[in-house]
Amino acid sequence: MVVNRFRLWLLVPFLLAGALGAQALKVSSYVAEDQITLSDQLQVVLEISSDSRLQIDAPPALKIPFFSYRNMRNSSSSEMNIFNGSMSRSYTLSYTYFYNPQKKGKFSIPGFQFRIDKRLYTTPPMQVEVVDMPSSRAPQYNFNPYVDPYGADYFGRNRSAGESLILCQLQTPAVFVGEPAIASYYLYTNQMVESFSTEMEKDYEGYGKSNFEQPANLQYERVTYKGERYQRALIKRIVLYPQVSGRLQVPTLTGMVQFSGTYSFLNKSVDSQPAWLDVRALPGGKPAGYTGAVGNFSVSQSFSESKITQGDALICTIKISGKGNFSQFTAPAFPSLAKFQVSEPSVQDKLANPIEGTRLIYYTLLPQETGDFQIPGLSFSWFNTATGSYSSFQGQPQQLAVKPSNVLSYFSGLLQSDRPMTMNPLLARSVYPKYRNFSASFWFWLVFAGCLASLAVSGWLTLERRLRRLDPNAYAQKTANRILNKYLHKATEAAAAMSPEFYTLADSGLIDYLVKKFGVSRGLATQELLAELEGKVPAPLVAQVGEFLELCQKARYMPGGGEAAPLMDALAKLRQLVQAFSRNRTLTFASKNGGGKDKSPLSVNESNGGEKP
Amino acid sequence: MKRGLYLALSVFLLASLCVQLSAQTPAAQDSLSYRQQLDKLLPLAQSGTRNADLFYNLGVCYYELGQPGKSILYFLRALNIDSSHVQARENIAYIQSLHPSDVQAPRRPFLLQLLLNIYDFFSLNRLALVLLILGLFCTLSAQWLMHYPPEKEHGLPVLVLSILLIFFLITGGTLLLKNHRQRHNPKAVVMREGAPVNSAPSNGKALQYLSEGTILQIKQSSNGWSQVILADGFSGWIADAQLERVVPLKKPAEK
Repeated sequence: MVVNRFRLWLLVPFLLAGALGAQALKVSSYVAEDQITLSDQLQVVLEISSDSRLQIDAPPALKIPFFSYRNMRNSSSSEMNIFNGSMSRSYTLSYTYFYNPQKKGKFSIPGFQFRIDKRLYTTPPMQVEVVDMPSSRAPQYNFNPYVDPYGADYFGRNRSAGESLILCQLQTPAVFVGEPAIASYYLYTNQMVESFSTEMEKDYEGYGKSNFEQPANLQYERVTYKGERYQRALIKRIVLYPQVSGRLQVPTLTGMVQFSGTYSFLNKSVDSQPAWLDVRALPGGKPAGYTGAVGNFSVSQSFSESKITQGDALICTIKISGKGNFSQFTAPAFPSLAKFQVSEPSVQDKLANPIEGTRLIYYTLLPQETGDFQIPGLSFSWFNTATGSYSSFQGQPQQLAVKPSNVLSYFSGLLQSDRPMTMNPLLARSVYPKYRNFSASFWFWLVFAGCLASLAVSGWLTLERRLRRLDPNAYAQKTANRILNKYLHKATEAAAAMSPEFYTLADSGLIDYLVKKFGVSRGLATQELLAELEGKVPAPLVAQVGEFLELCQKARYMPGGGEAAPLMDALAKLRQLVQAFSRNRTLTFASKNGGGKDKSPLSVNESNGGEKP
Repeated sequence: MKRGLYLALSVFLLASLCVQLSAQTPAAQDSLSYRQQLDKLLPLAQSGTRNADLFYNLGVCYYELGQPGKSILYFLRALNIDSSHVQARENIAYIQSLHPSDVQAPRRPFLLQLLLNIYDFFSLNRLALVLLILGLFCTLSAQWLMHYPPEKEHGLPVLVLSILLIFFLITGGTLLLKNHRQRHNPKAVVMREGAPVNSAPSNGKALQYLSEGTILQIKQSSNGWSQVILADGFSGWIADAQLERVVPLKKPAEK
């Protein structure tokens, strides 16, 4: 019983720890504006709220097709609520991801997906529409509260006494059309500000804008303004891209300052003081191919190869570095080039901020023919704000040798995985023949059948040779049978049928065989035939041929010539004779006039070797 | 023997080159817009023409018209016919690189990746040609062995025949495998943005939302739902309406 109680108490700390450790997280994402223009920036906001302080890494930025990712800002806030006498506090981490749109249209943005403490959090997808012209609607600026700095002199002062104002300061008061102008909004205060939140940003005609910097916390510094001492903190910094010349009013920022009163919080709405930007028109005489770039750039061009094989791609890279309106100009078009397929340019930005850094533009060229070509250099023009005039870059042409594919070029792509990533262009094809699977073609299997047939023939020949080498007698027997079947087929059939026709057929078949085998003349008398055979075959064999022919002639006219015993005896002799011919050896019949086929043992006198089987 | 090897290799490369170049024309690409190109090419594909370059060009058109799902589908169809279609492979990698938050396959070890690249390099028709050449060499070496003088040592022809036979069997096995995969390719592409992957068919809980163009492997299908495996091994159920298969299912009448 005591042990059981002890166990129960032991469980309590674990249950408490579990309850305290469990964080109630709320995750949400949204786009700051669901309709933006090509000159605006898309802001995708991810908010993670919890009832305890969070320490997590920023989730990776979403890759959104047709939007190029710029940068990310994060901020944190906390909120305390007193409701029905009980106090609760919530902490919110806010991540804002900035993108530049590249195309018009309606786009779907995938939801975020990340893990916190091994738990997967996802947010639903979002929609955004990119339109062509800047709209004059009021922006829906997100509510971003800031935590005020608790200074050392916080207590013991009249918390609401003093003044708070927002000032907009332009980095450059006068710019050219298209030249980025940075506007910084500062909160000036000599009050005990507890928090500040941006409520609205009012836009005016004549420019596009994007976020440049938005600090997570207000960092105060002491300044003097109009002879008064203030604390100043940067609220945000934006970039304006003037589109028309003249005097343009920069956006007005409205925020809510909150400071503690004696018994409650006091809120005060503050508008930024009007600020104006003088925009000068670009001078005339725009060079051909000017795409709207304004700034101070250095441009270079490079080609990936000078020799390629047909089927490989050539990458042309334009590198634009410096400071300017990167989000406002498009990639220059590649000069028209016969016998080459040129891809759409692929832009890769490495920007430290929206107006400063490096832009890489890739063009993929696919040669259609072999030969030596001159690839023209790319030209790029921009308005140079440093000199106040237009500048142009003309790339050097590149000599390119396109060689036919060879054995090595077939395997050249096996290890290439880190090539510059661009979308390969369309392939020029006038016809699209239907795909044919070789392995399902008739000729494919015909070749294999031919191989198998040749193997079968060779195998048979090899077996014959092997038999001849290892067992000459068996081979001779086999050959004799074959000869018999071939030349004395009818005679053999007659013998099987016990027909006296056997002798006639055997006679003519043997002569036919001798004619084909030894080239003796047809129609000769027996003696003439034997005489012709002499010298071609051993003499004893000639004698035996004569003996057999004589036997046949006698049997044809002899009474009882068709009887079974002598007929089978004659067939056996014929077989032995042919067998002897096939071995080219002489033989003598042990019994000249009688005996069955099995009773006539073969006695061989070697005429050419003396070897006995 | 050496001459024979060179000759056979040349024949193979020549034949392969002819197959690749047979459809190419020196004429430059016409200046039709992507929409017009699509209108021109799509009826060809719908009429049953299976051609890797046709599918590739359809993929490029769809991408430029802002449909990454269809684009990846047609690039996969091009690869299904010709696994050595480098441009299609690179374009898929390019589109996927725009979506790093998507489910990605874990990076493979170098040697495995090299082997897979070699496997892809040998498309079905290339494999068939290699098999044919190996078959001819096997026949020649078998003939050589059979007609080899019996009094000589048979070690060399036996070794040559054994090596060739091993290659022949490996190539034949790979050809069979590729043939089967071409006809029963289990890959599919998500066609709608934010397609949910559920824990069970119909009323399951949504485990994950996929973006358009995500490549999946279909494990099984039933009643309008497919059990899919993502590149990272995650498994779930997704409605067939959200997917399009690389090898479309035959309609009952066609079966």
